[in-house]
Amino acid sequence: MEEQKIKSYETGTPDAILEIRNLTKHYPDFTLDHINLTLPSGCIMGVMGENGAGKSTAIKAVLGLIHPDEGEIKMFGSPLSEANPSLKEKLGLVLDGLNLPAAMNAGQAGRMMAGLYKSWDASRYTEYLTRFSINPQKKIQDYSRGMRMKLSLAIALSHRARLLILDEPTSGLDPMIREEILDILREFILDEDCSVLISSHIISDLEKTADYAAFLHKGKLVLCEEKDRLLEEYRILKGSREELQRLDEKLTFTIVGTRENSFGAEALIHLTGRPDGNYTGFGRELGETVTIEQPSLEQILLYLASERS
Amino acid sequence: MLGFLHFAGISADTLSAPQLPARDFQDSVFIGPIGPVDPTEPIQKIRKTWKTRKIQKSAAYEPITPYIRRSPSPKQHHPIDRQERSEPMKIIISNSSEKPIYEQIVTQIKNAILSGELAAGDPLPSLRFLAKELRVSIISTKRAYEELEKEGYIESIQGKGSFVTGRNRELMREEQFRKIEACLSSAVEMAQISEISLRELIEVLETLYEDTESKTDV
Repeated sequence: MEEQKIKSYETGTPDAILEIRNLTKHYPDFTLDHINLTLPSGCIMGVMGENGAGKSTAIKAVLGLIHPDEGEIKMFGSPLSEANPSLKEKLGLVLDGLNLPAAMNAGQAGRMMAGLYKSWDASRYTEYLTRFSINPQKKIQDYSRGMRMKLSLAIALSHRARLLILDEPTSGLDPMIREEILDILREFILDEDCSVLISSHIISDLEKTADYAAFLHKGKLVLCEEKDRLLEEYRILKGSREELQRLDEKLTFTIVGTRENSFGAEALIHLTGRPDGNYTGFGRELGETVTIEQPSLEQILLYLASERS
Repeated sequence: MLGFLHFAGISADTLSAPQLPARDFQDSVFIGPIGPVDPTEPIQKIRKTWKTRKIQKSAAYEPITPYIRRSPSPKQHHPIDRQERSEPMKIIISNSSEKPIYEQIVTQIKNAILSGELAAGDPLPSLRFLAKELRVSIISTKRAYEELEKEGYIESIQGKGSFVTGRNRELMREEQFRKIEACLSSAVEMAQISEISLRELIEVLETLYEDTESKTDV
């Protein structure tokens, strides 16, 4: 059960748009175990984990779709239990599946949404439709997967939402669309009162956009940290098995996990011991024997996951 | 047709002239013809070949850039001769560099200030805009700006943004020197303990300089 570290490099603490405290939910074969997360305003938090790790469960709890056994969720400062209907105005959702009638088209969907949301911005919606090249007359049943997602996004962004929650928005989509979506998310948080919570198992996407990286594994929160800081504090060492074993003696880092093959070995290490967090030039201490690389977020999480299995 | 052009005050020469000054009643500026012009063609047809650009009336000659405008400084502070026209500052992030992202930003902005490319009072791009453009986390841009502010290179004014401080560049260079001196004295201490000669130390320094110059300056 890891405590999230929000180091305040921020001048003044921003308000938390979303606070999750001790969220617990029991299922017959799975338990979401005391999750603690805080999403400050103006940030993108990427929640990662394998299929079945609990990402969707956590999001359902946040949306009030399931009732937690323990814990509390606060959105925009007030608990979910006290939520009033105006809350949905500030929440933009992109969930699995476009839950609109198949025979409807984008234009009709827009008119329907205008009735649902007080703050519906029709001109913005039309702008997004044009930007995504969605034909307002085309029926939803004829949409490709990417277009469905784009329509969900267009709707979510057209009612002045402050919190955007996306559950696996990019799985199954080609790299071009994924990059488009990431660009839109970056635009969304140009406004510092807005935040994004995005869950995905495509870690490379989150590595590009997220400010905070949270990792769920088997229902537990393994870590939640500033993504850039995470990437600064880990290294991959590659060398022969003996070379890596010899390194064990130096204690300026801890070895998180190793992988060996017939021709060598590789280890993920977590750098510790520098109070200012400055690890540039770490390699010089080790000398020329081992190869040192910057790990990708995906590698870090793979090691952490296998270490805990 | 030429007669008509004369009447309108346009000669065959001005058809290929560069940008004419904008007048108050105009909302677009003549930039120039696309391709060769046949003055015997009807003026309507010729007009279609003109490139025009819609302008904000009040901003006829304002360079449209949100970035840093270089203010003129005395020649001795400009080691590199630059054009009068404002250019956006160059900031490049390398994802494969060992140097943390915030440090890369700090270094490049610092260099721009020390070299005079950014002058005192120049505004810096907003945190969020920089983060979006560079495709990095805003936490890193915030951290970079805080670091720069801590070292006295910039100051942040609530509600307005961040600006290069009016501090003398010479003072900043002196500070850099002081820090370098401190680093070097610990290097000298270590060298003396291990009986490493001054020549060997100088060799190390030379190699390090070459190493950092051969990589991109990030």
